[in-house]
This record gives sequence, structure tokens and C-alpha cells, in this order.
Amino acid sequence: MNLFLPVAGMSVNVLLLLGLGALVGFLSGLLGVGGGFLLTPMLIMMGVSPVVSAASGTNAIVGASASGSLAHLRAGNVDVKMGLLMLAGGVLGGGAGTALVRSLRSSGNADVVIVFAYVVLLAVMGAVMFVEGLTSQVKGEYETPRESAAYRWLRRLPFRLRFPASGVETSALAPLLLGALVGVLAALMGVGGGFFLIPAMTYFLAMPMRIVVGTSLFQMLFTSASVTLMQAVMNRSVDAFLALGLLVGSALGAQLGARLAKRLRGDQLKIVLALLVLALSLKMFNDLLVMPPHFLAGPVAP
Amino acid sequence: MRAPALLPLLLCPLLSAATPPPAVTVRAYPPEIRMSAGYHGASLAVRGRVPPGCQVAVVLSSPLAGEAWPRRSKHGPFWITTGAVRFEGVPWLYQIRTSEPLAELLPPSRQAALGLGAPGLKATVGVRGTPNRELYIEELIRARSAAGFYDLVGGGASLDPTGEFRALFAFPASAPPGSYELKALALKDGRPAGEAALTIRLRKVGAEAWISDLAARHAWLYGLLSVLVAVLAGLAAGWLFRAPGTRKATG
Repeated sequence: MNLFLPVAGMSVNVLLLLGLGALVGFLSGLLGVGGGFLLTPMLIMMGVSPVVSAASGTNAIVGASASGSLAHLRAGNVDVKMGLLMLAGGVLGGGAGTALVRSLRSSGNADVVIVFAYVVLLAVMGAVMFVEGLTSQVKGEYETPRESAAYRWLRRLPFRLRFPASGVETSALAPLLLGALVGVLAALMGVGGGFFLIPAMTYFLAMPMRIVVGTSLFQMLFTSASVTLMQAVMNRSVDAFLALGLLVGSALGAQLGARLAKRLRGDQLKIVLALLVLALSLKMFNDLLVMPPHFLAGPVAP
Repeated sequence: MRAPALLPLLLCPLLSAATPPPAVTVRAYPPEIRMSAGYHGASLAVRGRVPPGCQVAVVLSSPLAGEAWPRRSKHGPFWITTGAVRFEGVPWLYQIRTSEPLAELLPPSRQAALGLGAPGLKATVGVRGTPNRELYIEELIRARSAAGFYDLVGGGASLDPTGEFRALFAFPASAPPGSYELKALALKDGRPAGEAALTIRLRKVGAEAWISDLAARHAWLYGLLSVLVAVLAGLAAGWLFRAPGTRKATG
């Protein structure tokens, strides 16, 4: 059963699309990360152009984070003040990122930059997760240091504010900067930024884990929504059919993942995901090394 | 008694008017290709006639356009994109079917002169941004052939002694909507002996047409709708699956 994607201009198997959504949703439900970092490279492997993959993946993340952040908002797990500041940064970063995609695209380098960024990002993430998972396997549960050096440095920046929901006090610039960085990543790579925000909020802002996940989803909803809008307007690269197919799959997968997560040990899951991420990074890196079938890059269709 | 003897003479012009010289004809089914949600490429069945004793070449091609392609080259260990090559007067789709393999039907110089097959493309396509013209046209042909856009080998058309021919073409799923030209060329001893052409339209219909039109013309509205639909679908999924004790929804 095939579905013709109107903006991507190609036909995909619906079951494959739902399955990909379900796999990514399952992993994100299991591990509490956005899943965009897996979605975009997998879409690229399916033959969707990197620019459309990134934009449509972001659109799918809008839906996934909407369902998640509502649940966390109800449970009181969202630091709205922190979230809004990161959001302001995210909108600025998202705008900059979309403009960056545009200029890279016109210079013909967008696809290469996206692939390179992915290789590096996936390799770093995979390695960090693998080491973390292994460390906690060997040592048993291990605690994140509550006040990192980065947290103390960021606190010294001007415009200090109190964040009662998280019980921390830091410069308003800290969440703004983190938000901006996530916005750039979202536009460039079609990622919601959860994998980056979750550790960043624990290490740089010293927020408690319970609040971190809810706030991350809350700000991810707005960042991904604004990036989707900007990609649609500036790059015409959002494929609504593609996003919807992924969304339906990932909504189902996320629920299954969240249920399974309660029965499994976190560090073991982390190692499994780390290996998956490393394999993906290796595959993309290999593609850069192997001589391409032809010397002309880019979409074959006009 | 003289009238019957004159009859054939009188009828001769009438007969020749009723049966014009056996021209080339071509027709295709379907005459228009609709790209709906289930579209995954289409085949085009072509039939027609050439004068008896002629060979036939049938060409399906898109309009000619200028295209800039990023050029990959090796830097250190990596294959990365550096600069662009610009092609002028290049079709994005070009498929040829002939009653005999193209190489046997026409020598490369004749193919080039008639604008047929790979020699025809090499003779007509312009290249800017590299001195290596021939190499990059070959690369373009290789890329497009691998994706099913180009088919330059020929053969594949059946031709019976009366001059009736049949051929089958395949539009790849990613062929863009627009007008394509279908041309049948009769060949006698390597020379053109008549031709016929018709236009095949490929167009998006239904939701496909509506969505791509909205995305192109009302980008703001399309972006807002994409976000809204995603939010509603996400909320609906969260609501559907909210069983007791499984409140933890994730992104």
C-alpha cells in the first residue's frame, strides 16, 4: 500500500512509514527523548531529501510533544517560566537555523552539512550514552552532580532570576542560550532537541529530573511548531502527509514504549539505544567515505 | 462504353484522397496520468503505425530545462559537495523505445544528428562550471538512468510487418507533474521518414493537488494547518491511550 507524498514528490509504503514512526516513537517512549535525531536520518535512508526529512520530522515532533507536554502539565512537572525563556531563545535560534538552511541550500551545501552534523551528533551522543549506561551498569545507580562547574559559571551571568518550580536560581541568559542552540539544531536537523535539552537542563541549570522531562517537552512543542511554520514558509519543505504518517505511528509506538519502560532497567535500555545510534552514525559516516555512484549530488528529480 | 473505362481514372483522385499516404500515427493509454494519493509511478502503453518497411523510434521526454547540480568530489577521505555544474537544455525524463536496439538501428553519429539516445543528449546538452563536459553529461545520464528517469538503450518496441508498433513506458513515482512529449519517428535506412507527436499530461489530483497547491501558494496557512493537525493528532493519541497508571507520555 503506497502513499504519494505531495511535497516530497515521491511514493512511500504506508506500512513502512507507520513502522518507522512506531519504532522512533517506541524508543522515545522508552527513553524519554524526542526521537527526531533518529527520524531524520532514517527518512534520508528511505530516499526522502534531507531538507524535506528535517522539516517534516519537526512537524511530526509537534504532535508527539503536544501529547507529552499536556500530560506533564497536568502532573505539575513543567517549569513554565524556564520553559518560556528557553522558548524565546528557541524562536530566535529557529529563525537563524531556517535562514542558515536557506543559504546552505542556495549554495548547494545544505545536504552535506546536515549529513555531517548528524554523523558528529550521533557519534557523540552514542558514545556518551554508552559510557553512561555502562558506568551505571558497573557501579549500580549513580547520581548526577547537582552543581556542575557549568552551572556555577552560568549563574554568574547577569539578569539573575529565581525559578520556584525547579527550585533553582540562575541567569535568565542561561535558558535563553540553551533554547537558541536547540532552535538552530531543530531547523538544521529536524530534531526537537530533547536529547540535548534533557542533559543540558540537568547539568547546566541543575533542575530536578522530574521537571526536566516535562519542561523539555513543553518547550519542544513550541520550538518544533515555530520551526515547522518557518520551514513551510521559507523553504516549502514540510510534507504534511509524511508528518502525519510518522505521527500516527509514533503516537502508538510512544505509548507502547512508555509502558515497557516501567518494566525494564534504564541503563540496559541506554546501552541498546547507544549501540543503535552508533551504528546509524557509522553507516552515515561510511556513506561519506565510499565513492558515490555518480559525482553529481542532490535530488535526481527536478 | 467509354464511361466504365474512364471510371478508374475518375476514381483515382478520390481513392488517394480517402487513403492519404500512410503517415505515422501515435496514441497512448492513458492519455492523461493522474497523481492521486495511491500514485506510485505509472506505465504508459503506446500504439501507432509507421509506413511498412520502416523502423520505429518512440521517445517520451520532458521539456528541456536548465539545472544546477551540486558536484561531489573527494577532499581528503571524504566525498563532499564542492561547487555546482550547470546543465542547459536537459530533459529530466528521456526514455526511448525502438524496434531494434538503438545501436543496431543507427550509428552514434546518426543518433547525435537526430538528437536520439545518449549521443543525442551529448550533442545537445550544454554544460557550464566544468571543462569536463562529456564526463558530467555521462554522470547525469548515469544518475538519471539509475533513478528510472532515463532509458537510452532502446529496443523494447514491437513492430509487425504492416507497420503497427507497440511500446511500454514507465513514469517513475518521482517524475514531477507537467506536460511530456511522446514522439514516434519512422526511420527508413537511418533517415527520418515521418513523425507524429502528442502531449501526455501528468497532474496531481484530489488531496495531492490541494496540499501541494496550498504549500506553494499559501505557505503561512499551510504551515499553521500542519502544526494544528499535528497538535490535534498528538492530543488525540495521548487521550486514546491514557489508560489508568500510564500517564507518562513522551515526545
